[in-house]
This record gives sequence, C-alpha cells and structure tokens, in this order.
Amino acid sequence: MFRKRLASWLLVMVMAVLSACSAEATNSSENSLVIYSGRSESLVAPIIEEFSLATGISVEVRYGSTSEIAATLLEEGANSPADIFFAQDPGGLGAVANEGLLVALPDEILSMVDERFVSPQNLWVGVSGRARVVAYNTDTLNPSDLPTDMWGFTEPEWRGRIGLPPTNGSFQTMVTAMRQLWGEELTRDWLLGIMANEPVFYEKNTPTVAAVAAGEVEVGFVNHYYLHRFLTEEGENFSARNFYLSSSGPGSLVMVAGAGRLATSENEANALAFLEFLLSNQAQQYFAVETFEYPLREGISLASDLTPLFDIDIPSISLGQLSDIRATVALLQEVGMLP
Amino acid sequence: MKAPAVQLTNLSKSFADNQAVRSLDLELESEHILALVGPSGCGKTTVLRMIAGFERIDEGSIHLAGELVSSPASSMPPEKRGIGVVFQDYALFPHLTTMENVAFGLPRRKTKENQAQVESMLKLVGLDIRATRFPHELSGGERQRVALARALLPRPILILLDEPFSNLDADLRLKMREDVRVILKATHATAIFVTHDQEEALYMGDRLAVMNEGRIEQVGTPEDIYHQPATRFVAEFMGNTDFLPGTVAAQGLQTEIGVLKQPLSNPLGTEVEIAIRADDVQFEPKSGSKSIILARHFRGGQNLYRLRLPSGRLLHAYKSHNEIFRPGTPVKIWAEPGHDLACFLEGKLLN
Amino acid sequence: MPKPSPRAFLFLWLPSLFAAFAVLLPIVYLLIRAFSDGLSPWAVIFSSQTLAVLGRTLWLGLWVTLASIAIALPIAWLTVRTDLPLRPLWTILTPLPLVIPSYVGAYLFASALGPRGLLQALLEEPFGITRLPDIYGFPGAMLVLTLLNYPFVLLSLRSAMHRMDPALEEASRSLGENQWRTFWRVIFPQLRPAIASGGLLVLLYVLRDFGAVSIMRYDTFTRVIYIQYQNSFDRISAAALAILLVVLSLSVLIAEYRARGRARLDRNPRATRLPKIIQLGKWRWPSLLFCASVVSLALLLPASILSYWLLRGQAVAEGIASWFPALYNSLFAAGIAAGITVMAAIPVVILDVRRPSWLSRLIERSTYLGFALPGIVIALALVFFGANLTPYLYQTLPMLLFAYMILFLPESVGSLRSSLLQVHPSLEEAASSLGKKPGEVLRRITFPLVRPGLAGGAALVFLTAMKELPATLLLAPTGFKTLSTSIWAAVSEAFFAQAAAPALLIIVASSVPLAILLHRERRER
Repeated sequence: MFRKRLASWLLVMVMAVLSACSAEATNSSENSLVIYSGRSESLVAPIIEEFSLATGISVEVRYGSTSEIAATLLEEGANSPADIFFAQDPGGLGAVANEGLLVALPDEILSMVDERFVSPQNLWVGVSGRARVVAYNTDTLNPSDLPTDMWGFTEPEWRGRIGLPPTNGSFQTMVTAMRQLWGEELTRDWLLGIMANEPVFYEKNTPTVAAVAAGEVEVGFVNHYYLHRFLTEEGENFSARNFYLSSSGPGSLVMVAGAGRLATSENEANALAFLEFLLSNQAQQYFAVETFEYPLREGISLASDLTPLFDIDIPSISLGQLSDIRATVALLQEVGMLP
Repeated sequence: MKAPAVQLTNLSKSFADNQAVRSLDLELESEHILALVGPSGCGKTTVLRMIAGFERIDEGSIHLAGELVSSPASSMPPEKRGIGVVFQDYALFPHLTTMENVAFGLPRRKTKENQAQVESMLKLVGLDIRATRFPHELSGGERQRVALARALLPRPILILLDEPFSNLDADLRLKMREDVRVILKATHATAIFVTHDQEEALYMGDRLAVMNEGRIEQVGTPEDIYHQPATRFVAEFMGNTDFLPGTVAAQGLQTEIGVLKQPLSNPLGTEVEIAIRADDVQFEPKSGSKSIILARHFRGGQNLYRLRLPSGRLLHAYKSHNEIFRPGTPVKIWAEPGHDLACFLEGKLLN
Repeated sequence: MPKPSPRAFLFLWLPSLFAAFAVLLPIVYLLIRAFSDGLSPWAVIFSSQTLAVLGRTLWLGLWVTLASIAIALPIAWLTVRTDLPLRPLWTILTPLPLVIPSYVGAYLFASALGPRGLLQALLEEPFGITRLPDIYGFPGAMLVLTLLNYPFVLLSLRSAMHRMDPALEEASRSLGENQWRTFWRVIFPQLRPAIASGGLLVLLYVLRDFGAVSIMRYDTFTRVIYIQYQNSFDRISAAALAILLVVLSLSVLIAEYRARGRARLDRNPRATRLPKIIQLGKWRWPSLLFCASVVSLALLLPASILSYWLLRGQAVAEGIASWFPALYNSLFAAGIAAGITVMAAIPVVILDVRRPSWLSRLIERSTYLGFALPGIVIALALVFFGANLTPYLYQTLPMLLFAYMILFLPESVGSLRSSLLQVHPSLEEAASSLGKKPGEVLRRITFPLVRPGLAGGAALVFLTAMKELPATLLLAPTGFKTLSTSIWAAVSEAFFAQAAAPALLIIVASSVPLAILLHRERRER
C-alpha cells in the first residue's frame, strides 16, 4: 500500500510537471499559433486545420462567444497567450482594438480586400461577410406574412413567436447598428417592444434556426448562412428559409467576420501567415462554398443559392461605427435581454 | 373458576434450522410474577415474543384471560393485546422526553387526567425530577425505570420483562430488582420475567419456570425448584450444585464422604447422582486426610471453601467467617444436609 | 498545543495548511476583484434583478428538495422494510440516476419533451398535437434536478433505516399503536435527521448546478453568473453575484453540518435483531407502480432517448472512436483529481482525528468550504487569479486540477474521516507498544483499515470530477476537450445527435465508481 502510494505521488508530480511544461512548450515553440476564436468550432475548425496542414504550424484554438473572448482578452491583458483574435463580428474586435490590444497590420494583408472591410486604424481585417436575415418557419408562414422592417416584430401579433440569441456577437452588432442609425431612445424602445412579445432566448444562432424549423418559434433573428448548412444536411424539406428585410434598416445589415493580431503576441510571422491564409483563395473559397458566407476577395464566386450582395438593401454604416459593443451590452442588460 | 391470566398450550415454534420452542405448556394466574429462567438460547425470549404477538406460532395456542390470541392460523396484532413490554435495551424513544415516553401508551388527548396519571407513575418509579430529560441524558438505571413506567402506565393485563437488568452494573442490579418487584406488587401487576440469572429468578418470581432447549423442565415455587429439582438440569442450573456419585446400599447411599441416611427404593448397587450444595457439606481439619481445601472465597459473612476429594471430585462448603482455614489443609468431609438430597438416575429425579 | 515534531510538521501540517489555503484562495480573490472598483458590487447585490435571481434560485431549490424527499422516503421504506416484489432489483436501480450528469439529463429531456421535440413528433400523427406545453424554465429544471438528485436523500435514508432499532417499533406496538401510527410517531422522527441531511445536500447541489439550469433556460445564480462572465466587460457584477451565491451555499452547508451532527447523537446501539419485514398486502401493486414510474422516468426514459440520438448519430457518424481523445482526457483529469484530492485529505484527516486542536479543526472545517463553492465560482476566481497573477499557470492543466481539488476535497475528507474514526486509537497504541515506529504503524495498521474509506473517497471524487462542467469549461487548457465540454458544445448548438456518444461514454465511465460506492454501502450493513 505504501509503495502504491509512493508511486502515485511520483506519478502525479511527474504528470503535473509534464503538463505544465507542455503548456509552456507549445506557447513558445517556433511552429505554433494560439487563436482565440469567437466563431464557432463547427464552422471554422476545418479551415484552421487546412492552415495547419498547409504550413506545418501547430495551432491551438480556444472557442467561445465573441464577447466572452473579447472580455477574456481584456482580462488577460499583457499576460494573454493569444496570437490571433478571430471574431464573428466587428463589435468584439472594436472593443479589443479600443483598448490598444491589437497591432496594426501590414499593407500586403490589408490590400487583399476592399478598404471598406478594413478597420479604421488598420488594426483588423474582414475575412467574410454575412447578412442579417429573419429565418422563418415555412410550414406556418409565407414571406408575405412578414413585416418589411424590424419594427414590425414589435407588434402584438408576434407574441411568443420570436426567437433570438442575445449573447451572440452578430445580434449584438445589429443592435449596435440600431443605436447608430436610430439613436439610443428608439433602440431602447425597439428592444422593449421585442421583450414585450416574450421572445425565446437561445445560446447561439444554430439552435435558433433549428427551433424555427421545428416550430418551437416561428421567426428568428440570425445570420444568413446558418440556414444553408441545415439545407445541406437535412435537405430541401427543412422547414425554414431566410427572409431579407427590404427597408435598408439595421435588419439588413451586412457585417464582416474579421481577425486581428494581438500586440502581446510573439509569433508575428505565424500570425501574419494565418491572416494571409484566411484571405487566400483557398480559404475564401471555403467560406463561400462550405459555410455559405460572402467572400470578401474579388473574383470568388458565391454559393449558388445565395442572394447576391447587391440585391440586399444594405444600410450605410462603416465598420468603425460598429465597434462600441460595451454600451450595447449595457443596454441589453438594462432591458433585461441579458441578465 | 377465573381463567388464568396467561395460558400457553402445546406451544411450538421453529426458526429456519432450529426448534426454538417445543410443545410448551404454561399457565400464570393474575397478580402473580412468573420468572422464566434458563440458559441463553433456551427459547425463553421467543416464548415472550410469542405472547406479546411479535412472533407467530407454529403449533398450539395462547390464551390471555381466557381469550384466544394466538394460533397457527391467526394472530391478534400486538397493539390489541394490551400487553406491556420492557425490552432488554429499554427501547426508549430517543426523540421524546421521559414524560412523553411514559405517556406514550395513553389515548391521544392530553387531558388533566392523563397528566395526573403520568405524574403519579413517575413518582412511583422515582423519576419525577427527571421528567423533562431525554433518554440520552439518563443513566442506565433511570432508563430502566422509564421503560417500566411506560409499560405499566396503560394498566396492561400482563407485563413482560425481557432480561431487563442485564445491562446494569452488578450492585445496581440488586437494588433494581428490589425496586421493580416492589413496584410490580404495588400495581398488582401480572408479570412474566425472563432472565438467565438463577439468583434473580429465585428472588423475583412468585413462581419459576425453568426452561432448557425449548422445553420447560419444571414449574414451581422458588423453594420447590431450589430444594426439589425435578431434573438434573434444574438441579444443576439453580444454585451452586455439585454432583456426588453414590451407590444404593442397605443403610442408605454410599458415597465418598460417607453414608447418607436417605432410603431409596431402587435395587442395591444402583449408581445414582446426588445433588449436593455448599450448605449441605461440612468439614473439619484432620491431618493425614487425603481430602484437602483447594481455595477459599470470601463472601462477607461466610466463606465458601472449595474442597477436593481423593478421587479428584470437587465439593463446596460454607463456613462462618469466624474461623478461617487455609488452602492445602487436609480435612475430613461429611454431609449434613438436614433434608433429603435430590438423587438422579439418568437425569431423572428419584424418590 | 505542544510543538509538533519536524516530521509531523512536514508531512501533516504543511500539506494541511496548503489545502486549507487553497480552498480559501478563490473566495479571497473574488472579494478583492469584486471590490477593486469601489463599492459598485453592493449596487449589484441589492438590485431588484439580483433579488429576482435569488428568488428564482431559492424557489427551485425548495421545490426540488421537497420533491426529492417525497420520492426518496417511500422508495427507501419500500426497499428496506417491506416485502416489495423484486426488491433487490429496485435497491440497485433506484440510486442509479447519480451516474447521469445533470446537463445530460437536461439535454435528453429537453430534446424529448420540448414543445416541438421527439414526444410531440410522436404524438402529432395519431393525436394531432402540434405543441406540447413548454418544458423550459421552472418545470424542466425542477423535473431534471429532482429525478437526478433524489438518490442523495435515498441513500441517506436507507442507511438510517438500516440502523434503526426494531425494539422501538415493538415497544410502540405493545403500547397500542398500529403500524401506520407507529410509523408517524416513532419511525419518522428517527428519520428526520437523515431527511434533513439528505435534503440539504440536494439543496446544495441545486445551488451549484450549472448545466441543467442553463439548458432548461432557468435563470438561477450559476447561469446568470456565466452569462455575465460571457458578456459584460468588467465582470464585477459576476464577481458580486458569485460572492452572494457563496454566502447562500455556506448557510445551507452549515445547516447540513448541524443536521448531520444531530443524526449522530440519535444513533441507537446496534440492533440485535433484524427489523421485521412488513407485508404490503393490497398495497403491493400501487407500491410497485410507484417504484416503476420513478425508475422509468429517471432511468428508462433518458436511456431510450439517448439510444434514439445515438442511432440518429450513426447516420452522421464519425463513430465512437472519435470521442476517445475526449474520453481519455476526462478519465485522465478525473483520475489525477481523485489521486491528489485523496492525498491532500490524508494529512488533514490525520491531524483532525488523531491530534485534534483548534487549528486542525479549523483546517478540517475550511476544507468543507469546497461544498459551498459552485464550480463556476471557483473557475471565475481562478480565471481572475490566473490571468492576473500567475499567467504561467493560467490555462494549464494543473490549474484545472487545482480547481478540482478545491471542489472535491470535502468528499474525500468526509469519507476518509468517518473511516478513520472507526479505527480505535488503541489499535495503533498496541502496535506502538510492540515497538513499531509511527510510519510503520501508519502503514501496517492504519492504512489497511482505512483503505475502504480511501477507496470510497477516491471513487466519489472520480465520479463527480468526470461529470463536472462549469469549472472545466472555463479553466481547461486551450484544446483540452473532455466529455463534459464536448457534450456542452454540441448541445449549445442543438446538435443533439452529436452529444449522444460522449453522453453515453460519460455515463458508462461514471458507473464504475458508482458501483464501487454502492458495493461499499451494501457491505457496511
């Protein structure tokens, strides 16, 4: 018994030392990269894998919601092990950029996309585009049943029929756009109007769309590409479709997912290589074909059933205006959408 | 004639692989205390439990005050029998005070009458000052008395006591015996008292029943049991008895310590066993004798001597404390019983 | 207190103080963090929203506890004291829900009983039911937490019933009370301490639960803390709420400790007779129905739903083998956690039982704090601590294991302590008088006798570490996936089929330590 005890003591200490070492090792080794991703694993893990295979760089990815990752980066500050922040939307990137945690990117990378998709101080670059849509249940609704702008959903007839993911970065960015376009007062009114309709809250976009199709709710405020993945997996019988609002309001917002390099990162070469990879034809193709997003690189063709960008009534709003996510979160907490 | 308080007829009970009680007959009159005594495992506790209704019977019947309560076919539930039980480990309800324990068997409504009854019972057993204590705050003797009070208060037709003193210290035991007997008599209780201690049985019982291996060996008054044991077992179990072999002779019984003038009708030469007790034996020092004193036990007013006969057989004798004889002293031993000694042939009493 | 020998200091005092310090660390750091920005935490604590969260949490706790007792009491009685048909079967099955992690149970029930879930789909064709009543929120949370936590009360009651003295019941019967009245006047009062202790344990688990309330979308403290952690940028409110939750749990913990103490006081001397088996007669069928319903709801239903999702998953299959890395990580982390926790418990318990003093008692009590610290709270504190003060430990496996140690130390301390208490010091003294040195006495006499307690403690820690979710979510090193985090990731994306395989693996892996624990319980009777 004593011998067993001694052995397990030693084993534990060895294990502890090993794992501590290995954590250290991967951080400082030549061929590694640490990515903090606000984008979900199911969407971006494959393309990150591709990068790893193509370059031989071993990648460690930490997944979470964009705002959670942003908050974590702020918490970690100078101690952060992250090299890259890959975010789902401009809000999180803006929050982090405003604290000076991102470092300006070189021109070779920035020039790969249109300047509309680059952050004000060149601190981060857009990687793929997404449009806000309203997913609706095809069994119970027709497009003609749906209102033409977001205000329509505050009508009492939509009581108990709305689903949305309040912790999701894209939703929060849309609310930020509302604050920019409509002002604080109106945005608050809209939020309160939606709350009065007893919406059902989901963790993420995917379960929202699944719930819409299942009939648990009838409409959901999501990004456009989730539907397409369901269609690919479940087939044409999947009972949900996207509805693009036509009023140039924040409900028609087109946002970008983007990435930036952390100032505290010591892996400059690897980090820049990753950003370059994200904007390469290979990755852009992936975003177009596999995740059904809008590629930002010129000349990459869209997935076949996607509504082309110029058919969407995009509101005019710059990326810089979408970065103030703190106030959005505070507003959401105020109206009770976030606890 | 009034029916006996308890009547057991041809009672039998077996558990899995052993026969605990065999064809047992027993009767008890009201306001009497019966001491049921026997070695461990003889079945006395089983008999008690059957009377209380905690065990079913296999054969025979139990009548209480003339009413049939147990038969192989049916069994009146314990709560209907009106029998009080004092358990070996008292079984006091740990979450209730002394007063509440004692009052447990009374009908629910808390009336002044009930209250008065409880108080007088507590006074009777000497526990009125401990009325609000919990069982874990009481001493062993106090718990004993609570158990007794609790069983007595509902005025049961019968009270059963299962080795109630076995968990007490020796000196406390003696005192409790007296107290309990006084209380039982004061309340005119009919009681069956189970014990493995023969001294206790002799003291407590108006009548004794000696049990062995599921059967009753003898029922009678303490004097009968003690002085006229019906079987060798009873003789041996009750009192410190030695057995001395003897041979039937013309003058009486020929033994190693002389001739006992006790005529027996058996043929000459029959070998019998004589039950002889310390108060039946006498000795005096005689040098050159082959019998010697082995040991002396101080017993206060008397000394108990262990003597060894030439054959190696052991006898005991009492002597008053005035003279002291040392171990190793050779002595002459003879019998001075003052009454006929019980003789046994193959375990059976001879006349 | 005499000065300890250098050996005692090194092997006993130092590790014990370290263990106590480790447990206090998260609370202290939380306090620092919460109040670092002035007095704003008070505004959070006294806000109406916090009051609402408090109300919801207590409401859920109250009903789950009451329901658990209502289920466990009859089952305990039926399986211990009556002639219920198939008794051995029910005895084994009824505590089994302990192997199901609460988030797995929640995901299975939500997927099946949701307004447009599996059950509704089944019923739509024949009955035209288009929507089931909403199971999310309080109903779902209460259902899942009751079904998965009642075994705590059950096991507590079973052991109390085995210890009861049958003479008490006979005394009551002899005094005129029939079976029913005997139960209420004599038996139930004796069971009260066990009910209180088991019930408070359930309450404690409801307070700490994270997975089930999140999936069922019922905003209790843990869920709110997590969402705040995810979304707000200063996290002070999260820290403030965490402190409030700790205070709440601590109160429950103190109450539970007192209840357990009273149970010891009421312990009867070992019964010399086996208790009488009660004949059920005409109550046989209702009793059977009751047990069967509980087991169906708590075991069969989740098992069938799990099987359904497993089969569905096969179509999308990557096969079970793809989960092996996560399985390995789970087993590895849980195993190491069990090892270090038990070893940390040893010096604490030895000091408290063999060399008691005010300090050793304080250390032992402080290790129980782990019970009052929900996983999310410890994780939060360690994230703050790690990110700011010890970055080299941040996001490393040792930090996660450290969190496990804090969380589960009370389990191993408790198990080991009751085991050591039963080893009479005279045994060790006898060995000493025969010339054996302290180390040898420990090795040859004490350890073999407390081995069951050690094994039991290790098994319990292993079981709970495997199932742990919130601390693992926040503290696991980047890329370190366990079964619990995999299930969580899949369920939060509504990939129910994908969550099935790791759920099955976690249940299977948890059965082994549970079997060990149940076997020990049976042996102790």
